[in-house]
Amino acid sequence: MTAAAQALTDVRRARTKARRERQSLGDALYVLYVTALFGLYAVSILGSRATPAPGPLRTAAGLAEPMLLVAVAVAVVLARAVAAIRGGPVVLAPEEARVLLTWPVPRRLLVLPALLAACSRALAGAGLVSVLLLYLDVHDLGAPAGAVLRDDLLLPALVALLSVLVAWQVQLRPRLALLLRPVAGLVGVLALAGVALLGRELVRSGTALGLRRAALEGPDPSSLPFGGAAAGSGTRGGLLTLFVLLVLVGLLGLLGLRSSSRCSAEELLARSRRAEVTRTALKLGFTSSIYLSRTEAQRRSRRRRRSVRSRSAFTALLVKALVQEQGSPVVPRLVAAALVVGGLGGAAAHVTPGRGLASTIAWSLSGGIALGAVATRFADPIRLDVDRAPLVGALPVPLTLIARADLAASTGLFLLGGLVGVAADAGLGVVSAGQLPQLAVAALAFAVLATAAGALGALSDDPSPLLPAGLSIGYRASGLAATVVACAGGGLLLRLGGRPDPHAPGQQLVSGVAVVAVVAVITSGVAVARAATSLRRGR
Amino acid sequence: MTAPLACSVRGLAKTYDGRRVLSGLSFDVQPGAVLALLGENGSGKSTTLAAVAGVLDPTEGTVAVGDLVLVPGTDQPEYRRRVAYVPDEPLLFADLTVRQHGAFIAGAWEVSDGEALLLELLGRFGVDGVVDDIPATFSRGMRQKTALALAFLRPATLLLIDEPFAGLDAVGRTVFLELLRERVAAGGAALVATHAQARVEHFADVAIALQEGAVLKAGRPADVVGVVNPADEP
Repeated sequence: MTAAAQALTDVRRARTKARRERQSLGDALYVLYVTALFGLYAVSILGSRATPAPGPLRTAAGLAEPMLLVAVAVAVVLARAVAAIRGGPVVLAPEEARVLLTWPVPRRLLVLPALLAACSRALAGAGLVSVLLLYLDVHDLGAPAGAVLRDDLLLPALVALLSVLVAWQVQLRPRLALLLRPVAGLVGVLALAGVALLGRELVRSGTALGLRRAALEGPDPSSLPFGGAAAGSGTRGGLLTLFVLLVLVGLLGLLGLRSSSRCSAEELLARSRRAEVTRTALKLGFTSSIYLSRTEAQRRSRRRRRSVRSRSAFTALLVKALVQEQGSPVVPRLVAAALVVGGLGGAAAHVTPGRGLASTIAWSLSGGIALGAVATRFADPIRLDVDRAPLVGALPVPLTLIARADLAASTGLFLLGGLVGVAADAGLGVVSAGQLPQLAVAALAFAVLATAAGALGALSDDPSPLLPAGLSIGYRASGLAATVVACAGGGLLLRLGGRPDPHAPGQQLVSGVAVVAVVAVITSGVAVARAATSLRRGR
Repeated sequence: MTAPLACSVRGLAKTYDGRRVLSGLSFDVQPGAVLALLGENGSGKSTTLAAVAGVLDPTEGTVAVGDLVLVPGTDQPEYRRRVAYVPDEPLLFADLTVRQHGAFIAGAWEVSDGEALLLELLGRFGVDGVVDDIPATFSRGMRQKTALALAFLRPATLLLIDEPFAGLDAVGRTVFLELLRERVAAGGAALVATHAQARVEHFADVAIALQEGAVLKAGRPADVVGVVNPADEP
């Protein structure tokens, strides 16, 4: 071992010792508490999952499962690869990056442990997926354990490793991601179309028939990896996939090892800074991906690139409201709104919550998280302290007018997206013509809710007032209590229709819309009151 | 045959998100010389130091320390061994004592009797009493003294120091200048970025005034001082 390598080992040993000495029982108990809460949430979701009844549904689920898993595997690899342009898997601890990258320590000694850590995390995630798959295949679908063991254990692990190694290559060569982006976009559109068509089949043909038809119209399940449950024995597809994945993982692993000394210090530092931003944002309870992945320098640069050059104050106001300083572009926002309103509206028209309280809460929380995630994307532009943004200097209007224009544009955009989602539901035959007015009201309620959430966020310096309960745990106790109570209350209201009857579609839609509308009215009332107080104080 | 330059920079350019922060910068640092970089905030001083330290990849141009040319995207531990980099915010671990910092740096740079040298350097700065303390608890000036002592602990041929006087008291400034002179007298060289223009003539052999990432004027410190930011701290 060289002197520099020995010094690095000594540094790490000393820092680990110092960290252990600093750890307190209170911290450990807190981590345990958060883990237990997350665990309970996961268990409640799993517990509420409907067990397939014997007969056609069981068979259909067994047929559809392999195709779904292949799609998920492709999506995981592609998503990680594309995301690696803004942050690959190799992340050095911020202090190590800042200090040790200037030391004469061979870079591979810094990079390889980080790469191994990324692989370990991916394998741990794959392990959880394997356990879930085995439970589904053996317990729910009745497959012999021996038939599914190989696919369910090895394929998720290899897919996870492959995703890390591909993403590492993209991290080293960001231009690769530019090539992958169109491919991922195309796959995403196809997947969206597939999900929409499957939803239509489920609604038109009934759950079991729809699944079976979707499964049978795809490739032969016995030729697919993960197809053990459907085929009742190990599949050729699984064996072939194992071989291909092993070869790919081996080759990319070797390439990754060779590349470990060739990454630039600048890239590693930038990645480390982004990870630090993410950690800090999560600690503060921010959930918007803008805050989780962009440094302030990147946000500044984005603002610079999108300066407003307009001829009139009105046009400038409109452009400022639509072209966000920090948030998403118009089209992704429209699509997100369409997905939330179309997806939740369509689901409310057909899906009834489970009968247990835990499943009701889980269903409601899932909706809340979806809405919260989208709302934060709308919340970011609505900053009442916009006077710090360089482009505002070009607008000869009061700041309150700028804020109002932002709010109006965000509401309009969400409403438009929501109506597109409703139209898609109608076009796909998921909802009937009679249900369209209710869904339009739901779209308006969602738009008001998202905008009110944004305004509240801007006023409270917290961009995500609809924080998912999981992330608000421990940091905003009042937020956690409010979210759980609201979700539980909303869930219970959804169940007011009495005993769920899957053959009576739409029975939950009215109460579902009522829940959203009531929450929207209350939230917007609070937002208006807080905005008025803020304006009186001259903020 | 002439001895290689301590540092040679040719056509150094750096672009961030389409914004050019360095535009074709070229200069040499002779062995046994100190070059001062002057300029307003954002003129490119810190970027130049970071590029020479190898923690920023130049968009264009080359950087060499001695006969070793920096190749972006490759690992060159030997290059880093020749350089001691002190950015404007001192690079120190928050959980290691000053003594541990010294021991590990001495190990990495293969300094024999590193602990004695560290104690001597800290003693000259008047901070040897905190050798077993953690720098995270220090004031800005104490951290700067610690970072400078650790920089001089390294047997680097090129010192890269960004704002060395930041937070330093009179003793600290004097000791820094003494240590710099000693290092230069022993054949080392330094590239120092600073706003303290009044002090430049006391330690620099050559000065370069930067403006918007380009050389505005280069030459003897007396000729360059005051070209940019004449109202800088004396």
